[in-house]
Amino acid sequence: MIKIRVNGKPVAIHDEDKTLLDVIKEIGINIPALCYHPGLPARGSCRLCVVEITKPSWNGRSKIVTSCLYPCEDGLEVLTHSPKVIKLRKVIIKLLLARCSDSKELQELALQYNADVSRFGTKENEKCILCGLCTRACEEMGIEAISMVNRGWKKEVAPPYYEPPENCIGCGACAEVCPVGAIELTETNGIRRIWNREFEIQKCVECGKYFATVAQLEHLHNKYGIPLKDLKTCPECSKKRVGTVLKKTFFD
Amino acid sequence: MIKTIEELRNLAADYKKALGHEKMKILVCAGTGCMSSGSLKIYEALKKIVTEKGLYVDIDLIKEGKKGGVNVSPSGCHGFCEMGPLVRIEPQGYLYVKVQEEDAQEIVENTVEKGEVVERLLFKNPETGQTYETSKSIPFYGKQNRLVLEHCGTINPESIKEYIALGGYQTLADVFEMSPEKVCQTILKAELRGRGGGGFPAGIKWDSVRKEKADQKYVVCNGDEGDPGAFMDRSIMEGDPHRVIEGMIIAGYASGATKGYIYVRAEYPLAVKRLKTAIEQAREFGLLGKNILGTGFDFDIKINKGAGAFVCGEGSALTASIEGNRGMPRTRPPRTVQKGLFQKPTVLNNVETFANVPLIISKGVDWYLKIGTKGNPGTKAFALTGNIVNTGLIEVPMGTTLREVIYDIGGGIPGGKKLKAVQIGGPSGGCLTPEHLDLPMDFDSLKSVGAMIGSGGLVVMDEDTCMVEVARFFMDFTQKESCGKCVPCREGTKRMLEILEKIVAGEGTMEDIETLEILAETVKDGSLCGLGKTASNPVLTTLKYFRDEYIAHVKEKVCPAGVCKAFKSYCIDPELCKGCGKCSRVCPNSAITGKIKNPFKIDKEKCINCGACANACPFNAVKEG
Ligand SMILES: Cc1cc2nc3c(=O)[nH]c(=O)nc-3n(C[C@H](O)[C@H](O)[C@H](O)COP(=O)(O)O)c2cc1C
Ligand code: FES
Repeated sequence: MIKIRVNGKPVAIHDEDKTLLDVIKEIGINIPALCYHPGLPARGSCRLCVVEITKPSWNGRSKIVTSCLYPCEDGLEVLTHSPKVIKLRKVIIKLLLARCSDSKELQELALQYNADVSRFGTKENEKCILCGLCTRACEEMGIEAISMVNRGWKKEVAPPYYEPPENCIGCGACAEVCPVGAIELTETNGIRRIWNREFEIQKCVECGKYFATVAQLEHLHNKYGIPLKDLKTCPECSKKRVGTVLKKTFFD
Repeated sequence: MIKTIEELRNLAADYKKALGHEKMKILVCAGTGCMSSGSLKIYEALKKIVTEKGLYVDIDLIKEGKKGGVNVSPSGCHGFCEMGPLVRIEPQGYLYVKVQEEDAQEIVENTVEKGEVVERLLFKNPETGQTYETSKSIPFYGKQNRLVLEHCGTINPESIKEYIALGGYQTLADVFEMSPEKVCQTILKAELRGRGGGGFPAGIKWDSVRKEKADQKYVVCNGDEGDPGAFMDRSIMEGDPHRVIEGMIIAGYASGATKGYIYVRAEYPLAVKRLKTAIEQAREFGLLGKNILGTGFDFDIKINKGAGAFVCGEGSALTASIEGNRGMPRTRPPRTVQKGLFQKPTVLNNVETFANVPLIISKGVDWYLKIGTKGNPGTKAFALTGNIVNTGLIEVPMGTTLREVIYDIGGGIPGGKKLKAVQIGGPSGGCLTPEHLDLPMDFDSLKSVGAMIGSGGLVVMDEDTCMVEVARFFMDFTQKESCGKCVPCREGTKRMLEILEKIVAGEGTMEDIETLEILAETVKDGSLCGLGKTASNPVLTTLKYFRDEYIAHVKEKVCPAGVCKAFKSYCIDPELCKGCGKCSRVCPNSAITGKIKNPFKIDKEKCINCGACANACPFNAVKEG
């Protein structure tokens, strides 16, 4: 068991693989973490989840670390809102807001942290904050239809050669995880549009609801060998059906 | 193939004896600088003439029985690149500068055959007119302490035999008789600190890797050298590749690693070639590969060509790049010594760090500790450039003062100008001022004034340098090199650059200076990797030491050094103007009008302050104000 203190409060941790951010969230402390998603590998790029850490043995020295990546080490004293941390977070929010001045999410954060952006040169209205959640989600799906291209200030998320990505299955995971709604996904009449491509959406054969793109189902079929006809039922109806089958077998 | 430690010792003695039979050695610098000014042609000409006269020898010929001849050999960089192509004659130590192919005949006839110096090829101090016969007598060399660079310029980097003859690879014999733990202890006791910038004790790294349990461990040599002004590592890799390999083998043995990688910057093809040759030779001699010298220890080295980005020199980006991934840094922990290359325990050190190792083992810890300052033993190589009389590659004991480097070795500032500042450590370093002239240059002292040794680049700047422009220049570099992964570095360097551009354009405000400072602190504290963490250093140190210069740009709207174009204005002195009209013809914006033979006038509204008119005027009638 690992013992740490968060803002002075002792916390005991049993799972050694937890990061500081996991623990901070669990005990109900709210800190911004825009490039973090519980289902994806952490990346430490937004730097908003920074905290100040120290240990009694460090002779009063402290370090600023990203909590989403930092492991829980025994004896750590963690400050989630120290003056140094607040100051840093504030400037980082300003920097992000100067880049994406129309973002509701960032404006809200700025309000919370009293961050006024006026002095930071020209405002731009980019939508993407380059947190990389979408590319990580796509990678986790085993697709890699989009990736980060270019370096530094010119960095952006894009499909190869900026063409509509051929291998995209239109699953929409990228849009789903985007913390600032920067990825456009529209659906009309059984057609989903994303990354300049159009995907036919499958209607559930039982309830009739549109639930996944045909390409996505084909991907599952190819990857796991599940018969295509079994994939044409939406997850809810599938669950229900299993329930009915069970009921029929055991109770009727 | 050498099979035992005993055989290696005997072979070394043999080669040494053979080398002793050379009567004379002509070394032609084949470093990148001299080669680009045609040194290989000189080498071939010299070799041809010496061979035709039946004088040529080398180790192999001597071993076949030929005695008392002259060896002609290419060598690594001598450091005095500005004066190249360089030719050096041993044992006399004559140094010929700016040698041409046509000079070969004269060198052979006079120096080789008659033992006379060719006066006109000697180095002549441009300021005093004094000439120097030998390299040692030239202050540029005389004040240095070349230990790590001892072979650079004095041996043929493509000959393993010469390296062995001079004691090379002999430390392996000693090391293999020690336990790995003892080797780590030796490096620890010698307090060898990483020369790649951070100054982290190498012994701690090695010992940590040694203690890790893993089925595979690695040694990685960082030869990325991304700082635009630095070329120390290049010179070592080109001029003495075997020394780096020897250091890596020792690190492998000490840490339990069996595979090594050298990550060389893509722009260093000659270093790659020399290292390749050296690795092949070492394999042939049984110094790399399986069961080295019959000890049961396996070690081999691969070369990896860099991806060409500054950030790839950062440890975690570098290992990612070797793995075939994008060269982007990651957060620590886990540390490289635990999970480095391919997630295995890895010793990562800089070229110069590895090159120090054979020296420590062969000469001993006590000897090593006597060089340099307490806690900062040994020497450091620097690349001296900028407004200085002698530019080039130098090596001095740690703790040598800036004054000694600039005035004794560098020969001072040309044109009687005053020293204004020195940028140390490249784009991630900081600036020093004349008040630091007596500061010992070592890791700790430099850190205490907000600078760092970094890559070892030393750019000397005279009074005509604008420090805001210097900060802008470096920020422009780092901003372009930022990988863009984390917000503070990507967005922060861009915003800092915008502000600096605004200030040099004469549009800055006092508020901008304040914002610049806040941004600099944020980027320093909040960035993911060392690139961002150090990107602010040029801004922070110039703000600290030259704040009035920033304020002058902002408040008084002047550039005190007279560099920033935005603050210049030109007018024509009607008394001096003869009305020739030259100025009007060169003006790119048609801002100058007038009648021939009458004084011309500059339209201030149209003038873009380019200064073309001032350069064109034959009568010095265009005044800057
Ligand atoms: C942006 C950046 C660039 C770097 N470039 C180099 C480099 O070109 N060569 C180098 O040896 N170290 C470089 N480093 C330092 C390495 O990360 C690492 O600390 C070093 O190679 C370790 O070796 P040492 O302990 O022997 O110095 C760089 C660091 C950063 C942050
Ligand atoms: S959530 Fe940790 S850096 Fe973004």
